[in-house]
Amino acid sequence: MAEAGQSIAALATYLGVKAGKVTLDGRDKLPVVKGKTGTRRGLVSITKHLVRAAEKNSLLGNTAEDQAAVDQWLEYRVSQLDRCQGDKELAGVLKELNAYLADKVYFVNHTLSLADILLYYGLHTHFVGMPFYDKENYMHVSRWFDNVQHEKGLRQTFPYVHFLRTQIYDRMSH
Amino acid sequence: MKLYTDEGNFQTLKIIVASEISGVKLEIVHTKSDEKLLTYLSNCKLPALESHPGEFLFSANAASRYLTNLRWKETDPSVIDQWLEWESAVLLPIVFPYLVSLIGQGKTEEHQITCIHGYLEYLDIELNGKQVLCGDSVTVADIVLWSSLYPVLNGKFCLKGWESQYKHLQAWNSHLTNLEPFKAAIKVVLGDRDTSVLKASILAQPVPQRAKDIGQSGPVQQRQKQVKEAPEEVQVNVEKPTATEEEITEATVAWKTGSSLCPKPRIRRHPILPEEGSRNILITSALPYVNNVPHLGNIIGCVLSADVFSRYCRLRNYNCLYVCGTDEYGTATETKAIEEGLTPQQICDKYNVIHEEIYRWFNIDFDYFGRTTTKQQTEIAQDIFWRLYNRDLILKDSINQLQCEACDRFLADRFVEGTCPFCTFDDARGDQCDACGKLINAIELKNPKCKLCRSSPVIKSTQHLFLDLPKAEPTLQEHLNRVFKEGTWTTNSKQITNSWIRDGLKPRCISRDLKWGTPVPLEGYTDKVFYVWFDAPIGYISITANYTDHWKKWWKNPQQVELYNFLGKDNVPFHSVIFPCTLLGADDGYTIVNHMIATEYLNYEDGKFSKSRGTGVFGNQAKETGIPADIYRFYLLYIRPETQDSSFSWDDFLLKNNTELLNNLGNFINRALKFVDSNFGGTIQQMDLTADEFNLLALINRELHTYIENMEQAKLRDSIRNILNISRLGNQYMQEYKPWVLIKGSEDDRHKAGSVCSLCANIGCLLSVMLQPYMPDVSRTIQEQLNAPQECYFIYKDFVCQLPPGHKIGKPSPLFQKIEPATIEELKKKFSGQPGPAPSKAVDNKKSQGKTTETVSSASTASPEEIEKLTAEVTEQGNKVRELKTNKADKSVIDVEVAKLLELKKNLTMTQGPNQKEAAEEKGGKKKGKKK
Repeated sequence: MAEAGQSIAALATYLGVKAGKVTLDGRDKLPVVKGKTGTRRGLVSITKHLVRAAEKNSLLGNTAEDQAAVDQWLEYRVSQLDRCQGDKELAGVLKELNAYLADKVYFVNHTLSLADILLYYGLHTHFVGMPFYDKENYMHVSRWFDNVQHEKGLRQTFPYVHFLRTQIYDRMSH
Repeated sequence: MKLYTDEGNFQTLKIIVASEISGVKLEIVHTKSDEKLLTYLSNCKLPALESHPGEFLFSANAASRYLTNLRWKETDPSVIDQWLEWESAVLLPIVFPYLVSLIGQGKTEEHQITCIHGYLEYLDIELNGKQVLCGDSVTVADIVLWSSLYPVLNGKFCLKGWESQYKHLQAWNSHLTNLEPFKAAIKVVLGDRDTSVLKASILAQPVPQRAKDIGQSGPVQQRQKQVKEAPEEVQVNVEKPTATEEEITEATVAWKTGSSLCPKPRIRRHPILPEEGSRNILITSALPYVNNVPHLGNIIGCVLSADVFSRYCRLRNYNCLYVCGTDEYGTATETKAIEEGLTPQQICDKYNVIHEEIYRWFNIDFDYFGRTTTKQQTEIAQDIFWRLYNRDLILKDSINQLQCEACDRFLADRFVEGTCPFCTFDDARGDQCDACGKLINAIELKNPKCKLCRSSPVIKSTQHLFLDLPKAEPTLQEHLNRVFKEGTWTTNSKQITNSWIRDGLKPRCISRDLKWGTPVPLEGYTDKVFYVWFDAPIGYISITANYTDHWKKWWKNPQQVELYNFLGKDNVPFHSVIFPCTLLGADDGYTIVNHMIATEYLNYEDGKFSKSRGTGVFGNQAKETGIPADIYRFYLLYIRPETQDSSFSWDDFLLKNNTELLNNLGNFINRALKFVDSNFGGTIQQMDLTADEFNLLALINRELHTYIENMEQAKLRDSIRNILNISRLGNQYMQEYKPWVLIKGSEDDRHKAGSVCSLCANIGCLLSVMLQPYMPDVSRTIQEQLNAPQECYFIYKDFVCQLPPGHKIGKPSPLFQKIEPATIEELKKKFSGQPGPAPSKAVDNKKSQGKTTETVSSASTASPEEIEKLTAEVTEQGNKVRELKTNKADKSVIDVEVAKLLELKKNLTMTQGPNQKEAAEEKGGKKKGKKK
């Protein structure tokens, strides 16, 4: 999965640390990074390690509850989002995220966390080609996405995704 | 804390072991596996831990890690991260489907077992010399892996002989299984029963998906390797979903038996009449009002929707008749006639042609497009009236109305002006006051004036006829109860109908003091005509009667005929309550609506379509844009306002054309055909399909089945998705097998290349048929390029081979054209309703101001152009005022401009006169004029 490699590289840049070379493990295409401190496998494991290395532990959650919630959404990125097999499943994921984000600014506890970052990178390719109709349909995800893409240093070379401030499709919110 | 789980969920083991270790007492709440606990998740994933009231963790791994962390401190969290991720992303997506087959369906699949052995071996190596996975004591990593492997390694369904193969794993497993927290968890989840109690939960819970493009070591891939080259570059190959065995068998049989399964398409021979033993479907589309030029919203609302449905019915060999026509009687036509100095009949003749031309351009394939101003209409309407009259369903009553003695006519509301009784505004209309916005009863106006001759009308009591709806209600209710249950009714049509009946039915006036209409035949009322909403639906019958003398076989044959009404939601009550009451009351064995398909409204960009403001695309303008009708049809159906209002957006239009049509559908068909053409001389090759390809056929069938299901319920928008999905499957298939690489290879490879592109050509053939209801021209073009036999114009329930080896295809060429953003920008501007650059603006302005009095006196003869011009001026002046206000200009300057604006607005109202109603009618969906 080229996308996992991209997410890791972008996160490393955002954190100001070195990611090392990302290869994909032959068997299950798990991203693998071989570093001085050992080999790390898996998108979640690698990115969490990078966050710890950069000493930005608050991105992983400050309390036990928040840490669990961050873990849960990281797992969601890998096991749900990255495994969508077609538009229908992707629509299902977007619908879930939209419902979850209906009353939230960030995924966990009012601050940016690694969950937001990885879901943003993971959703980016889908948002780039998304018609305004769908963006409006997934209004809450769109709002969250737009917010996250403005986080300083996060977007980097990912193309900016445009959102309309005024709705063009009447009564599309649910 | 509360733990929500279904009975016998092996993932729950994780959380219970963790809670035992942490010492946190969990309250276990058993929920049904299909109960939705977390409102934001679309499936009902269990277990879920409620860590704080209202705060849920739906990931069992995150939950158990949370619990263990309350007690233990992790020494090396990174290693634990890796184990947990490996378990959730790699192991469970294999174990889960394995258990679904094994425990759920009692069978095993070889490749799953091979994979599991691979993972067990890996674990065995990792556990060499260790008692636990990381560090020297039990961690959450052990808990999570042990739980997911529990049914694989223990109990009734355990993998035979694993213990002797994986010694270290065996030691680890038995060590953990004998620890107290683990024992306790087994007891909670399994009780004293064996692992078959896990069955219900395993079958109910969502199955985790494997990674895309699993490595080449899997046995499935090994088999495929023979036919495809090993992917060298890291490329995202979406893992193909697999169909069930039954689906694959079915697909294989259909494919191998071939086109002999399909019956010959029914030949369309007019007149079409119901046949014994056939499914006889009568389709009507709401009759468009003759002197409104329909906009895209009107077109998708009824005629186009009914067209797609009737084309589909023909492709399924149903015996169907699609009739429509223009609704021509009524005040609006009379007014228009006075305006244009023609007779009402001449107006109708003129506009009927415009309608026909528009629908012809949009490829609407009516069996008959008629009109309501015919002899048959009079005969049938009067016959129905007499039957109602003789059955005491017609009441007589008097109402007060304004009559203009000078013009010798009763004045419809919009022909009266006067002083508003509420706010004393001196320019109120007969139905509503522009100043205070209140609705007015015309006879309450002070100083009423006839809008045409300016003389004062008098109030006169006049006798009218009423249809006794309350009396007909019980039979109607009985009919509705039946058809609601048996037929297809869109939600909005049911809701509107129910709310009408709930509010109580009242007698409805069916006569009108007009001349242009079907004359009332009853003595004493012969100077009146039937009111349009009584008259117009009868038009369906009379139009059929104009089509064939045997119209009664359709309309008096409820046993053999199913009647489908397609309409906009504003027309629902007339079709579901009043017209059925009329026909039921007539008690003459009429065919009464069985299915009602009502659409919501289509908006234009961020506003509404408006003829007077020039906003939006109207039927006659679509042709001028140079974009083919099929593209409009496709887009309108793609955004069909099926369950909620939707919007026509040019940006989206461009996107849909360039992505879905050009890049997906067009690209697939063109690529396949060009390949057959250039490499095999246009001849379809022998197709030797592998298991993988039969899986593809089964997946295509899945889409085809949903397509048929959706179409049967007239969910026209959803079926487009199925077509595009099949094309996507085709694209993926080509991308995967790369015939352009194979063609350069060995003899076998060349053979495979021929097989691949020939299968694609057949998929193209299927697509062309499925596409026919939506894009008839494109469908025909594809068929020509395929040189497809006429017999394939039939939708069979499965995908069959229509183009056998040896078949010669025609000449391929691109199907769609890219639409450039610049073109779209132009179109956006053109239809935005903004005033265009008028060269002599200033002069025009002065002139019209100078002409004020003249304009008023000739109010009724103002031409549409003049009104448009005035409208443009008002808009422009409005913009000017707004601009001044935003720029905070001097108040005196603003006041002057505002005064000008008011003056212009007044001119416009005066000039517009009766036309104003027309503008209002065009808002939203369809002929609202009938509502009264």
